[in-house]
Amino acid sequence: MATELEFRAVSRRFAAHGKGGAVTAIEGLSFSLERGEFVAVLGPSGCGKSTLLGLAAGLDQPTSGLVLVEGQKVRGPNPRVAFMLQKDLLLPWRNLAGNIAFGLEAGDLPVDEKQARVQRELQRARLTDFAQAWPHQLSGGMRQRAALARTLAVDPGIILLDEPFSALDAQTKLTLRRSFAATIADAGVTALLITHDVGEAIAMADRVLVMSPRPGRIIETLTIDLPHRDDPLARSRDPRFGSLFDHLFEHLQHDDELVA
Amino acid sequence: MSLEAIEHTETTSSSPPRCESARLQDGAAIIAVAVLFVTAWQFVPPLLGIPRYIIPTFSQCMVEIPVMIAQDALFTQIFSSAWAALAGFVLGSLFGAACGYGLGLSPLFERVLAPYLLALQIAPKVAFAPLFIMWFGYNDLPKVLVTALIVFFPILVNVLQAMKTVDPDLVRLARAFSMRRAQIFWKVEFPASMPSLTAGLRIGATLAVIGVTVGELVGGNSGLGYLITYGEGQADTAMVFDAIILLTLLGIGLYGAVAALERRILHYLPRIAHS
Repeated sequence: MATELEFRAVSRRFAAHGKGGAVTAIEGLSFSLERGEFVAVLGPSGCGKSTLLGLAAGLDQPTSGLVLVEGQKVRGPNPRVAFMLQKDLLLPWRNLAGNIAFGLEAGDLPVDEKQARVQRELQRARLTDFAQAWPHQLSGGMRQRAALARTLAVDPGIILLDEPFSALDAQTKLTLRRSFAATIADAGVTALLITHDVGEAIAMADRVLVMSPRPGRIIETLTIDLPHRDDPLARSRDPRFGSLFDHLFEHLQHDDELVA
Repeated sequence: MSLEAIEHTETTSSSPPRCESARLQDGAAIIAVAVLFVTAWQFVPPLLGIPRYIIPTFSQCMVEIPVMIAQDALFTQIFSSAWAALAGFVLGSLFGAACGYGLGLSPLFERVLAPYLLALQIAPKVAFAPLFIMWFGYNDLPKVLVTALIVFFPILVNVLQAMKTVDPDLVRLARAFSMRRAQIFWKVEFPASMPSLTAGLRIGATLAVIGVTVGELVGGNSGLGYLITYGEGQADTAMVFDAIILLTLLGIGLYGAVAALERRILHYLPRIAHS
């Protein structure tokens, strides 16, 4: 298997404005994602998860260490990496098809190819009937599906998902996780899911990395050896789910106590 | 999908018939107020013994209009004011928007120029009118320039504010898609600034009439503002009243045009589409 994304001893410090001294967001972070793998990064809030995302997307550079995408050092935004956030970031002045085409407009694809990609993703997200709808006319779940469609339209090798479900109600969350898992399996991309939800990490990922509070380090790696990666609901009914949950939850708990 | 689709249709079709009847009621009430006001204007001043050179009645004001058309070339004056208001508004908007976007794109310039912009914004713009007349003479240019200067600032401030408050995550997303700076501006920042720009234009439309009036009051020889000073000299209060009413109508026209433009531009926002 080829390595798609790799962090080698990555640290990122930010000069604190006014307060003096620097904040270390992440320290000595090392991990790698194999092609097609779905990895969840689990951690308490403020553990540098978003910093990790910025580094992988090429929006930010590490203070020390190396970030590699497909074996190449990341020097800036990379068309192989695309991300989506908790906020759907749909442009309200564009209809759904226009929003899905947004990421394609930076490149110089022929018009036919762009349209074909938009159609492909509309279909995959089951939003074809809503191609002409405006974002405000859609429910939160549909908007997140559209955001994933926009992310996949650029044919990335890796997608970075920063808590994409956390703004939704419990019912929508379950439906959307299943939809995302199926879509990602269908697209065959490598995925890095950032989350603070233990159950979500187990239900969706092949492997879970647990991060410590700031400065973020990886304190535990757990391979989720359960079937049904494309169906989180089926997975959460697996009898082994509970013990995996307890194991990860303890690690998070333990760190909370250290802080307190 | 089916569940979400139902949710979607429910939110968009929000009972129009009830809205319609409420709107009719509002309209009737608004007209009733106008009728009440005009009636009071017509009959109350004579009852109180107020002479026509203090408050002319509604009918006296209406009678004055054909006189003004015949003797004072009223249509030419209206056209002169309207033209100056529109020219000044367009000029001020273009410069204001251009400076707003320019400063929004360059934080360094913005920081350096901010105190001067604030000073200029605080300076009473109407006070520039005599200066412009000294510079450019008794023609239409000074009033166009005063109008442009007054319109300039609210639009600049609104656009600059919009540029500074564009969701940084939206810009990060565009950058992650490898968009160039110019693409980020045209595809994200510029459209995102539209609600603020049109709000600035609406303020500018109301201020444009003030600019024109001041320009004409101070040193005009044409326009409705000039008719105000002329009527004042003649103790023709009805003429002053009529000029004020016509200037107001001019402002309403300009404001209405901008509001219509806004509805077209911001059609994608639900609350504007329904208002």
